[in-house]
Amino acid sequence: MSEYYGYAGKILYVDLSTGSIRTESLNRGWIRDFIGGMGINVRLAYDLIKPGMDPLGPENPVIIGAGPLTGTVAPSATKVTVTFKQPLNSAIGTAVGCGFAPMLKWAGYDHIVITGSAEKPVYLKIFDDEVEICDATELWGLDIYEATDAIRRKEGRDVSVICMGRAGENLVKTSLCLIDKVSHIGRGGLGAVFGAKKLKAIVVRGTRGVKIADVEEATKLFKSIMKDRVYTDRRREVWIRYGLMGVVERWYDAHLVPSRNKRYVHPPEKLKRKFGVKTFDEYLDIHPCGGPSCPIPDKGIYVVKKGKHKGMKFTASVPINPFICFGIPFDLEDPTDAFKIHAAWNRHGLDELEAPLIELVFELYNEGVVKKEDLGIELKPDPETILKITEKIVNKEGFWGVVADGVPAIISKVGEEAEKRAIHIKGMCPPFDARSCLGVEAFHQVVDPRGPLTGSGLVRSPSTAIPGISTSLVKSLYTDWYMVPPEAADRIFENERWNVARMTVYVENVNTLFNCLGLCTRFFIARCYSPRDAHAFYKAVTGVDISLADFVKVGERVWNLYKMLNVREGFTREHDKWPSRWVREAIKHEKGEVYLQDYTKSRRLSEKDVEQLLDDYYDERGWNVELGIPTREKLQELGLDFAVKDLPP
Amino acid sequence: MSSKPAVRKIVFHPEKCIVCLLCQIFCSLRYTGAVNPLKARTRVYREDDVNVKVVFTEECTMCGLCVDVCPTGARELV
Repeated sequence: MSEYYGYAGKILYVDLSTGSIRTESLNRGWIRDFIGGMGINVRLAYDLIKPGMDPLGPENPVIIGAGPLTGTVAPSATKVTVTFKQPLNSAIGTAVGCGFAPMLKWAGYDHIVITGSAEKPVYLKIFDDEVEICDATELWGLDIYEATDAIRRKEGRDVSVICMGRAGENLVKTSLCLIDKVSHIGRGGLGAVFGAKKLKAIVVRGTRGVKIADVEEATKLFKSIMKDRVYTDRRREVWIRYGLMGVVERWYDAHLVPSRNKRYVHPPEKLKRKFGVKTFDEYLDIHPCGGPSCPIPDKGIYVVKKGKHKGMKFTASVPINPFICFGIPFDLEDPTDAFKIHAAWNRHGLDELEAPLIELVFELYNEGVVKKEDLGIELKPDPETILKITEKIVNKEGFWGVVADGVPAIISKVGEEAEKRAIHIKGMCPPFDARSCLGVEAFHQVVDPRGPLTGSGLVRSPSTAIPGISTSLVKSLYTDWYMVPPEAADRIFENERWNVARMTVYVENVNTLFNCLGLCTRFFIARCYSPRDAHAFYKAVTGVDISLADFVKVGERVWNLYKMLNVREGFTREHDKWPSRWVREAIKHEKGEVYLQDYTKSRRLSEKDVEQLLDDYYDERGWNVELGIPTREKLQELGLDFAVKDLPP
Repeated sequence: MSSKPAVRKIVFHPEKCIVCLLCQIFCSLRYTGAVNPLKARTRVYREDDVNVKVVFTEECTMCGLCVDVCPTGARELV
């Protein structure tokens, strides 16, 4: 067998029930058809996940993938993908996070498959060929920051760590994990899956390295991307220092950050004054950070430098989250309280994109649907109350134990009054509100097979998360970048408007390809690579000879198989459901109301219009429009014949 | 002639370093034949999460490759 380049060439299998540890060579046929990362994760999942299995049962696999560009000289090839059945909504999800994967590759593995459940708390230690299931009794009960620090003290500062917090230990379905204390990974309950397995953390350190097929060509491509894409970005220093905080004031101007359970948006001037970039500078010592090989990191480690939380250290995977998840929704007087609450959610491993659940409870409380006796606390939008609620969620106390398990559990407990007020898709809270801006990012949330939101729906900057990009720019920039065929462009563009549903298909395909490679898809990083650049890099790094057309086709193939994983679980068009409030109610602000409109804001959209958009999406995908799932012909065209048997009769 | 020019020195600016490891990635590729950052001749790391430190091993020849690939100007060849 010839040597692997770019790839480590091995999959590590660990069964926590039996203690079995073994490796298999990476299947070269799968490399051809699914490339790696998300692609091979999804292919593994198709064999390993039995439809209907309990997400918190020992059989639910945690499948971790690194792409072939990860851990090489490719800039921003930092991504790790984790595929698992989500406890929150029973969908099969692939989560994407920053870091861990490069170290996994350097240790000699492209993927890890963890099954089973340990009898007592453990962590998985992977130091090159030495793989060990270690006792984690002393780590149990520690928060993520504490546990990661303890692991680093014991195993060395060079390790990379995926760790869950107390929310995961307590099987909270809105829990996730953190990579190296910074990057979030695993919306939908990855923390709880770790908890059910008694798996506190995965620790990796690698010194085997990754070989590159054509070092000269790969180095040339690195220099070219740095020169032409990275150094020419005039806002790069802003991205590095502030991440998305660098554009947040434009989000405020566009009414993108509503509060009061998405019913009201504060005046932009007020938001900029209290929660703008100046506040960030005023209160924080900022230490930008990201994953290995990323020249434009957008994450940070922060120390509060004044005020009542002076000296507090915290991290942020998305630096805007303290403000948009806590500061603004609860209109906190002191912005540093938002840092305090955010830090608590990080430490516990709670998914702060599910923080709107608390806003929902406030609305139910104010409307008299739930009472103080139900909640065990008087609800007030102050930081002390939010922190108390946080503890109750983590500990699953009373009604808050229901909230901990997300929208499906709340609707199950409260019924219709909650259902009509909850803004959710497949039981998960969507971070982009389509009423503020119906770009690809917002629409993608409706059709994402696992629920919102993965990087698969993010458009390179200038992105459609913010309104105002002209149709001519969308056409000139995106059609080429996302390799939209001419006949599809004819369907997408009509005079001054463009069809967001049809465009989403091509964005998803390219982003899925990038998730297979391990490349970042965040707005201002994604502009570093077109699919053509990625193709050239892939060939130089791996030596795999593949045409550009076949390379790009992998994105579509993987997306269809990802969908089929969820079709097997019973997900169809009826689950791709627009939140009723998006379609029926406006977001109010002091100067008026914002109803759901198309991206160009040329017309308001009705229920019939949004159903038509779904029709358009499925049609563009070549799927069964009525059911919203792939057809036999589409699966066969993509070489996914083995999945045809799983289509409903 | 010495193969290790004594006049070359790399000055490190920790406040500019984002710990992207591109220095270690390229150093290890040149000197070990594989991308293997923990085998690089120079290393950066965070102490207490925030304070960035740099290390050069005895094998480092101050060749300047790490300076060339640093995206933030945290390394300077003088």
